[in-house]
Amino acid sequence: MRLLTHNLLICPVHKKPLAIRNVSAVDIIPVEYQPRFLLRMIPRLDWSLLRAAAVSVESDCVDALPEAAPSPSELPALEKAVESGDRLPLLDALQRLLLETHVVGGQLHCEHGEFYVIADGIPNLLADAAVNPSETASEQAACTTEGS
Amino acid sequence: MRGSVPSVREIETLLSQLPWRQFQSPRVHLEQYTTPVHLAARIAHHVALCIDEDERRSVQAVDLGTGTGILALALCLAGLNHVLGVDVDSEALELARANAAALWELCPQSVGAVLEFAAVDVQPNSLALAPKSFDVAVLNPPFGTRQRSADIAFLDVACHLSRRFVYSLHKSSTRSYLSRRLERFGCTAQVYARLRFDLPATYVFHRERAVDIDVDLWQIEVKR
Repeated sequence: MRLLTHNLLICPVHKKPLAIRNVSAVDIIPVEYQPRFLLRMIPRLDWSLLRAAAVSVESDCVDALPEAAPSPSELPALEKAVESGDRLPLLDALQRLLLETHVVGGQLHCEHGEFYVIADGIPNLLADAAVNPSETASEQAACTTEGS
Repeated sequence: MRGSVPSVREIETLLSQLPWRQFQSPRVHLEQYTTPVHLAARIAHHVALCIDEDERRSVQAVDLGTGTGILALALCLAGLNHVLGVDVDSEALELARANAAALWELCPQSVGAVLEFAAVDVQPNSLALAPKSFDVAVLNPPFGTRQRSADIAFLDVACHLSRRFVYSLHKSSTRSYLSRRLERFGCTAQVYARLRFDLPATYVFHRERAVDIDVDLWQIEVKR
């Protein structure tokens, strides 16, 4: 699961964003640089979710992400820079995080307590696959030990 | 895969070499059947042509009910570079991923496609995708023969997720009903093509070896 996909997912029960936790494996797989796609995605991203995700996967790109997303008024200047062939540190960081960083194993936590498992790179967001720690406290303890 | 859209034939030829073009043990209640490769190729080709060439590589598409991923892969071959395939059947997604790996071997230019899979229930109440996250939603929904209006639930989800276009297959016999329904939603919809779905005898209750069904490929422009 790329961090791009993570940004589009919500909890199927509570419709809230999901926090990446207990990451067991991350892959970095380089792909072609896609500045125009990244620029297009900026206004749609849940920026704080992306920043939190970058921290969860211990990415070295965290520092290149500003606190807040570039505002719509800043985008034309970024577009211009891209058209003239400039490499921007912000877009390099987004390229690495959104398109090249894959969470292979881990969990997606809803603020209401339940979590969903990412196994073999595929997140399972089915409501009946939710793990509810309050109901299965012992199971969760096992998962946490495994994940760390 | 830059530039012009490959021909339907080229897409179809590649798809027909994939290992998992059928479900291993299809589930009746989900009305699982695989999109025939020639249909997947035609749909993907049409979708690609509807999007400006310079935009094609930067749109985000979703394939709802992707199954073994045939349509999602067809979209990648047609030049859409960002595709998410979702399905309620996580075992089918394993096959989809095997198909993707096989396709990258067959067609190394497509390796760069940002193709993802996630287990998500394509139902309004249990959907795990944020609204309006996609430019294009493509779907080959269950036709609603086992469970009434299953295709309508899928279509509602597609309109909820897409910002611009929805491409969907429905039985031609439901054309006038769908047309009224979409009009009520304020969507601009048209039947782009009438196609023949050669549904092979997937289930034991299918007595004949193969049945041809007339289906419409709808193009729906979502109200902003």
